[in-house]
Amino acid sequence: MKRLGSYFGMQMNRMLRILPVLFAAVAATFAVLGVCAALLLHSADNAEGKRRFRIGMVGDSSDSYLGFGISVVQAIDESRFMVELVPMEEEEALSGFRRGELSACVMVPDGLLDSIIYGRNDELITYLSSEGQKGLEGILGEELADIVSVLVTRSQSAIFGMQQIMRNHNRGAEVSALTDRMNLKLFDVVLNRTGLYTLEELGVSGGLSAIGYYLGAFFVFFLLLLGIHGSPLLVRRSSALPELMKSRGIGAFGQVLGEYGAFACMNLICFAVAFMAIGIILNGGFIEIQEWEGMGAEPLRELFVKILPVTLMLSAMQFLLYELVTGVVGSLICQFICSISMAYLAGVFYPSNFFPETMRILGQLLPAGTAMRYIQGGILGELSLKTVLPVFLYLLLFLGLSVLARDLRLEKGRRR
Amino acid sequence: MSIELAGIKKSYGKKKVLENVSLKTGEGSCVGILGGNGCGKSTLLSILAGVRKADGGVFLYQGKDLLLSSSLRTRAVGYVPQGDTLVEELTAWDNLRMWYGKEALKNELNGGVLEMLGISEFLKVTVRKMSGGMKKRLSIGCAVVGNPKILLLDEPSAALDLACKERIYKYFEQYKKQGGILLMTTHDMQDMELCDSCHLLKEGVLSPYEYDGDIHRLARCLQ
Repeated sequence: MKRLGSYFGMQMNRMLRILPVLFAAVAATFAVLGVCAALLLHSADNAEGKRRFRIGMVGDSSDSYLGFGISVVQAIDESRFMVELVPMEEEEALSGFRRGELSACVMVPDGLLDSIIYGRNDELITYLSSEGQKGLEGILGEELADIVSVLVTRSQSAIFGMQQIMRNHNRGAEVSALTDRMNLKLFDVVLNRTGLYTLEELGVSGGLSAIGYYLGAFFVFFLLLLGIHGSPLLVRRSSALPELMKSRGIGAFGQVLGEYGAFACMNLICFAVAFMAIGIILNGGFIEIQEWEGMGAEPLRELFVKILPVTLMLSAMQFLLYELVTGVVGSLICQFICSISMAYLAGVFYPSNFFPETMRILGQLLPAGTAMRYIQGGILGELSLKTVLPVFLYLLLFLGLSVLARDLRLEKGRRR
Repeated sequence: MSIELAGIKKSYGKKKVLENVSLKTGEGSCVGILGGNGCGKSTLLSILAGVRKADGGVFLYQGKDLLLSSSLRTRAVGYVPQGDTLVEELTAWDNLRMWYGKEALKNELNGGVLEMLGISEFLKVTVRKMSGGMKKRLSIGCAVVGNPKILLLDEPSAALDLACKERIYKYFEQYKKQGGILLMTTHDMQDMELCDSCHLLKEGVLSPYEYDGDIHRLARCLQ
């Protein structure tokens, strides 16, 4: 036990010696992540009213009804997401769609109006979107195609129906005036459609505001990247010392505990520094977290204490990766790839509800996903057993696997 | 007090490195193990230190097999391997603190083993900046924590200058006088002069060798 304490002390000593360099690395990471977060939040602002979806409309727009439908939709500037319907030729629309200049293409076949007049259903509007497009853009595009479809076809059906009835009753002279009235009525209804619904904001994910969500994501990504900073402490260069230590009574458990303890302390110190920086930003009023409105920096202090288990868990995961991969280059690449891929799947860069269901479930099950949910709960002040338990289970699992990996390596060395 | 190795065996796959290695020596003695490169000298010492596992055999001390009794081995055996077991970015003091308690370390540095090895002179130097001699002395200093009765040395004077060798030999002489047993592998003639007996390890078998200073005869035997 005494020797175990000495080993931990020695690892702490090593950690403290690299701390100045680490602070510089943390500052650089913080700055890069800060820029990324600012860009993400900026794009979130864009999504709140400034984004414009261009949809190519292919069909004979000289037709008064199709042209009318297009001009109606273009006039809806009060829409939350502005839509731009652009009449164009099929070839032009397709190439624009392939180049990514258009969000979608709506193709209205030439015989559509005749087909509607004579009550046939053999001409269909074709909507083109990219395969697997399941993000916000894709969903909106689909919705907009539906709107266009309704505007163009159902309004036409109504007007043609009215014209037919008027003619059947020998009142053809009134058709023109009634058509104008119907068009104006439709125009009025469409322009006022924003008044037909109320928009309730549920937040980006899990009931968090965009800034609250990305603050949690920032913490997770920062913790994941801290693994790379641990390389001077954890990269294995020689097995001579661990083997000698085992022969002197400090086995795999003691070695892992000593090294992991120092690494976790290092991550906690770096994380505390990052928290202080965020505290300064919050106190300065540069950003506001909706969930903590009017509460000052107190929730941030509470969050730091709450996040400790996540810090320990992700540190244990990174420790295990160092245990499994040898060499400086291999270890760093492994840490980097794992950090980025796990962060992506866990919804650090985009909320996970943008992903297909399988990916979303996988992302939530991964350590970074459990960390995200835990931190989101911490920000909302709603931590439950369901979010806390997986974090502790992962912590024990990673430490257990690290001890096992070290033990196997030492045993392999003994038999060598 | 004596030690006895009997029937120690080790194979790497199909290659037999040690076959029935046996040796007996008493307190206050130094045994030199000679042999060509890759003949198994380091393997033998690492087995005795508990770093590697033997395929068979016993290492008897005080009637107990040290290959099986790790707690007694930890107290009784000090081991200085060829490879670096020091932590590069730390100072000599920090490296020693891993093995010594604070008070014990201070005592050893003031009139104890560590003073004899001259470690006080470079206590604040990081291992990275140390010369080969300093590193070797520090490794020995780390190995002799708790004053073990058996010291296993894997080529202790390799690449050291004469002054440094003198210092280490002085300590080894002192260690012997205090009743310690030294077991060292070496290629160095000066090391052999320190030894009370020499053994030649060839084709996995350890046999006594009478070293008379004739290096050509030794070279022929090693071939």
